[in-house]
This record gives sequence, structure tokens and C-alpha cells, in this order.
Amino acid sequence: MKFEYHVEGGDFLNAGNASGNIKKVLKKLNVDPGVLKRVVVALYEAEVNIVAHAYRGNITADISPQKIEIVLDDEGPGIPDIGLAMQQGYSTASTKVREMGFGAGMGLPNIKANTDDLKIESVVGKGTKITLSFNLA
Amino acid sequence: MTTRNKKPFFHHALRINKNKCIGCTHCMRTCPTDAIRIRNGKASVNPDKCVDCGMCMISCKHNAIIVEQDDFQRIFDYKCRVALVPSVLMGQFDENSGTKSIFEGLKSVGFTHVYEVSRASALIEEAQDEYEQRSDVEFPLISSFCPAVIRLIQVRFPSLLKHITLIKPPLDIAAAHCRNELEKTGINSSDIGIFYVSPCAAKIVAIKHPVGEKKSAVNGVINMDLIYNKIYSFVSNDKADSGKLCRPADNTHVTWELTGGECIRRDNHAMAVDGIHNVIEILDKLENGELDENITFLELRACDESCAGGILVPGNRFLTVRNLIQRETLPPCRKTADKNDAACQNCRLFGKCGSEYLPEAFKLEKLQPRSMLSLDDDMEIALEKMEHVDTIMQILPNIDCGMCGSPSCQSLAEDIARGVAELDQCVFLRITATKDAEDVKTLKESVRNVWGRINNNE
Repeated sequence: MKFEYHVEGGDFLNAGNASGNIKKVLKKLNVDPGVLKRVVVALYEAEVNIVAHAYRGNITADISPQKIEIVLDDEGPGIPDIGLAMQQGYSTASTKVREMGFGAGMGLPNIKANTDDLKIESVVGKGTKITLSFNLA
Repeated sequence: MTTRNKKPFFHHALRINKNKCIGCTHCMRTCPTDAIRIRNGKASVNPDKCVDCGMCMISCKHNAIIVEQDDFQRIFDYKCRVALVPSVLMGQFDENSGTKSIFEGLKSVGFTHVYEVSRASALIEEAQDEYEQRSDVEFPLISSFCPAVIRLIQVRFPSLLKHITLIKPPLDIAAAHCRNELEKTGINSSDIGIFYVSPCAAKIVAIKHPVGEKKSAVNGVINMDLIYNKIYSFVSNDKADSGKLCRPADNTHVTWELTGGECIRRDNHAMAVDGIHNVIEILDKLENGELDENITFLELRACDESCAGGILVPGNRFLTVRNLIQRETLPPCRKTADKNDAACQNCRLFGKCGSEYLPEAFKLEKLQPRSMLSLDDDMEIALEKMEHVDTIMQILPNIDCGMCGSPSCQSLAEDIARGVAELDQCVFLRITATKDAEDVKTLKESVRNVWGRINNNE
């Protein structure tokens, strides 16, 4: 089953809406609480990444009894050096974003730690597409 | 629902008086766990979802929700009858009524001893400090104080169960301490009856059907509103004792049961939240990983103003808080026990609840999840049902009028997918679709099935 959400860059008020909604869905689907926690934490981080760095993006979650796959596709500046971005503490977040409690450079490493598989594709000047996968079976 | 045929997991203290209930939907709309539906003109509670928070009782305008309690006469089954009282009972009386009057009042109705639960608070603080040092705990810790919150987490936030401190609430430690102290004076354990004066429904359930404990040390429960009625005239007529509000000699925090009671001695890494809908908001944030990592302790209480706002507490919650804060500012008692003073006698008899009770405090067992949100235990079937819900939601009006007997359109759609409701319960759909007389007739029938009547003359 597929679920789609739209995220606006800079809209911190609504950051977390998509992950909150997916959480409700997963609870109704009787997904194991441990997996649920990982999905929600990873997705929240990734969602906030779009809000903090990109102009806009779409989140598509595809849920089956075997697997949860969530694609976050954004229009934005892209990531020039993915390897560097994956390092803990590395951050390009603006002072404004940091003042709001985001952008501590823990985002991508935290996402990776919570997913079973993480795929990042990025084109500088165009956008970033990340795919989070969680195994259920 | 797949759990339909199983024995209900939870025992409940809240009951619906079918003679008084008119099916007005107030309780259904306020229930934080979506546990109430209207069927045949009456509210009906799903026992698997109810957490005994009492929001339904507060919202009920017809006094149709009652709280079970033990027959008061049961106290006389015991030679030694202890009233185990939360401090909020003392908070029902202002500084013009002395602590002694309240204690004497409790004795005048048949109790032989009075023990204030908050006397175990210092020990719980010690237990919490020790618990925090363990290597296997998950921060932020969530206090195990409020039984409605524990059940809420079991039902709605099972992934957060491991945050709850496995420490018994003060009530249980107080009961154990009280029993031991009495036994030391030579009284037979079987002659001791400990009765808790409860400010809420959730604590009654916690005693009758404890979570994480095999058996509660308490023998019975008496509701606070009943006790208040019984002792009110005694206390207000006992003018001789005016102005003698006192605080026990040991390190008792009489404000422990109030909002912030557990946080006050902690640094700013602790946070207190009261009111069940506020608690849900914070638990949601915690589950999303949105809470500041510097928060290490959460004091979560289901009632507004914590136990002062308990559904069985007779007085105004803000006045109760004020009275207790005033008492907390008193210096601990230093005088030699007065033989004729009931409050003094109790202080002297029940010594400090010391560290020897610490092992007792850690006896709470691992808490089990009981997610009641899922559409089906089998995810494949749950997915099918969810698609069904989606289809239904596209035709429902989304105005949450409650006429169908479910709290929202979403709930009705889920009830239909679970096979416990029908689409024609939606009155809105029926009205917009109805064209001929035959349809009106069946419309009336389906309204009657939910509401038991079509208008008040029926």
C-alpha cells in the first residue's frame, strides 16, 4: 500500500507531519514496536532534512508485509560530497536552522543507523533522493 | 477485531449506568483511546482500549459513569483498620482544619490507624536515583507513578514501554511499610486491613489488577468522595484544633502527588506534564525522536493538576494544590509526640520508611505491550483492511458528527473494516442519498439501531 506526502522547504511548523502520519499507519498495521521506532526516527530526520535544506519534496511510503520502503525525493541544492555528509557532526545547516534545534550533523548517520538499507542519490543543483528500507519478514 | 473473543486484558473500575446513560456522545468524543461507541442508545466501552483515565466521567453530564469501590463495611472484617491516604485528601481542607481533625475524622468512621502515602516519597526518590545508574535503562525515564499513564503507554505507545521506571508506586511501598510496622507491634498480619482512599479510577484498577506486580499489599479501596462525605462534618466542627496543620517529622513531600512533585528536586533535565491529552502529545514527540535529548526524566500524570484533579477528588483542584503547597512550607514536626493527638500517634507508630524497603521498591516486573490500535494481528489482513478504510473514507463526510455512534468518520471507517459497524450508520450519507419513502423508513431503522430512538418521544 502506498502513502504520499508533500513537504515544503522552510516549513518547520509542519516538519514531522509525514513521519507522524506514517507512525499512525504502522501502528494500525501491527508493525513491531521496535521496527516502528526505527522507521519513525529515520523518517523524521529525513523529513526535517528536506525542510531544512531543500525547496520542496515528496515522500512516498510503500508498505508490504515483507518490507517498508520510503522514498524522499526533493528539489534542492543536492549533496556535493555524500561521504562527508555521512560523517557524524558534519553539517551545512545555516545558523538559523541550528538555532531551531536542528542541523547538529547527526541526521544522515542517524538515518543510516536506523535503516536496514539506505540509498542516497544526489545531483548538485537539482536535488536529492534517498531511499530508506526496513525489513519486516 | 481479532481480540474480540479473548478474555479482556484489563479490568476496569469505571462502569456505565445504563439507566442513566442517554447516549449523548460526550464521553465518546473525549475518550483519549477511542474506546467508546454508542450502541442501542447507550455508551459502550471497549475493555481492551480503556485505560481508566476517567475523562468520560468528567465529561458525563448525566452522572451515568460510576466508579466501583469496596463496600465500606468491609473494613470491619479486620481488627486493625488502616486508612492509607494520599496527601490530596488533606488538601481538601484549608489551614483552618488541622491534620489532627482529619485523622480523628477518619478514626470516627471506623479506622484504627491512618497512614499518609507520601511518607514513602523519600524512599521512592532514593529508588529513582539508584535506578538511573543502571546500565540497561532507556532515557528519558518515564515515572511509573500514574497507573493511567502506564496503561496508556501499553495501549497507544508500546514502543515506549522500556522507558518506564520499574519502580513500584509510593502507594505500594507505603502499604508494605505500614503493614510491617504494625506487625512489629505484635499484630497478626491477617488482622490488618489496609484500605486505600483513592482519588481516581486508575489507582483502583492498579490495586485490584496490578500491572507488573503479582499482588497488591492493599486489602481494599474506598473512594475519596465517599470518605470526604463521611468525615466532612467532623472535620469542620472540630474547631478546637484550628490552625494545627502539620507535616510529618521525616522527609515527607506532601506535594509529591501534585504536578512537578517528582521534578522539583531534580535539575532542569526533568519535565512534568499533566492532563492525558497533553501526555499523549509528549509521548508522540518522544516516539518520533523529537524530544530534546537533554530531557532525562518525564513525570507524566493523566489528570489535570495531577492527583489534585483526580475524578474522585471532591474539592477544586487549584485550591487543593494551594492547600498542599501551604502545608509543604511548614517545617517538619519537631515536637515530642503528643499522646492525645491522633496525628502524633501515627507519626510515632509509623517510623521512617527507610532504605530497607528499597528492594521492595524494585519489584515491579517488565511491562507488557498491548497495542490495541492495529486493524488486525496479521499485517497482510491489516493492509487489506486499511485499503478498505481508505475507500470508505472517500465517501464519508469527514465532519465527525458522531451520529453513527463512532467518535469520528475515521473510527467508523475502521469499525466497518473490522466488521463491527455498517456503512448505513452514517446518517449524513443516508440523508444525502435518500429520495423515496422506503429509504426514509430504513433510515429511521438504522438511526434507531444506534440511538435506541428517533426522537425523545419514543
